[in-house]
Amino acid sequence: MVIVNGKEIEFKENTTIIDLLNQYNLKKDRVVVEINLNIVEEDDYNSYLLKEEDRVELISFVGGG
Amino acid sequence: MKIFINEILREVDRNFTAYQARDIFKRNCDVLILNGYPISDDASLKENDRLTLIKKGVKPSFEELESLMMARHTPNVHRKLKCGNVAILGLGGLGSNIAISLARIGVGKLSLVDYDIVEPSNLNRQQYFIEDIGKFKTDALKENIRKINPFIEVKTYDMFVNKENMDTFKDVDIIIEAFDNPACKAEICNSVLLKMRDKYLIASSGMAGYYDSNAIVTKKIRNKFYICGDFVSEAKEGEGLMAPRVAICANHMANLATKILIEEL
Repeated sequence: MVIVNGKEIEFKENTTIIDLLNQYNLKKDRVVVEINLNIVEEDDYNSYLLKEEDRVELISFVGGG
Repeated sequence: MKIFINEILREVDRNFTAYQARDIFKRNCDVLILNGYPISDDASLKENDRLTLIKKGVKPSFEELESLMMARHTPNVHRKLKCGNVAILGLGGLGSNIAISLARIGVGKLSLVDYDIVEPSNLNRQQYFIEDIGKFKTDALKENIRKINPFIEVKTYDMFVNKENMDTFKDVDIIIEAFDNPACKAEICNSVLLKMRDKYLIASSGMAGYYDSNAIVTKKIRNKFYICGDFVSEAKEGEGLMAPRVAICANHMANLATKILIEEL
């Protein structure tokens, strides 16, 4: 399993960050992605493969200010 | 013993009282502030006390003004705020309110950043006036701050800030993201978190409409990174940004910046 925003979800092989963002219906240009306390660069969202027991935080922004 | 009266060092006798000081230094003053608190009764003074004597309705000299404005803070708080250096990215409903709150309490250095001009639809929530319409937001806000607290060192940047030019703000203590566009918010947060790791970063997400005031929170995301807002109320057609709730969020951000400047830097 992996932990996303504090909740356990099932781990699937070959899941990229883009896959995860799609699963949560989030746009890649509106998020900060933190995995095991490290911030991941947007350029790596396509290639970064999740590992068993990763702790992921997906922080998304809505417009207005 | 030594005391400070309107920030000027004075030598007085022991057992000297606040009212004795008033009668000697500013006989007809009507507000007495002792070490940051207004007093309504006479009080005995101790070594190094700071007493501020204010005559209501009288415009003080420029030299005297700063000490009178700062009388509400203890000296240590004043010093820390005056040393503070904060960049505010975006001068809309959030940024203009944040800048004014930080200027009022005397944050010493503010960098104001926006590429846009003031237009009529801004006036429902942003800290500008009708006569500001058509001016750069940076220029208008700098002028409005000068009218509130002329002791703030304001730098203005008429620019579209992005990840390529963020090093313009490499010398500040705190970066405040106050943009409207969610992609710009994410871009700048990623950029600061990856390349400017020593900075405190205060960002924003969700403050549209007139939903519950108490839904807006200050959330610590990770070390030195915070987001204020309700995280869901997006500005969109039929759900605009309005002064009360935007100002609530703005002052969550300004209050957090104040706490960081006083307690963590």
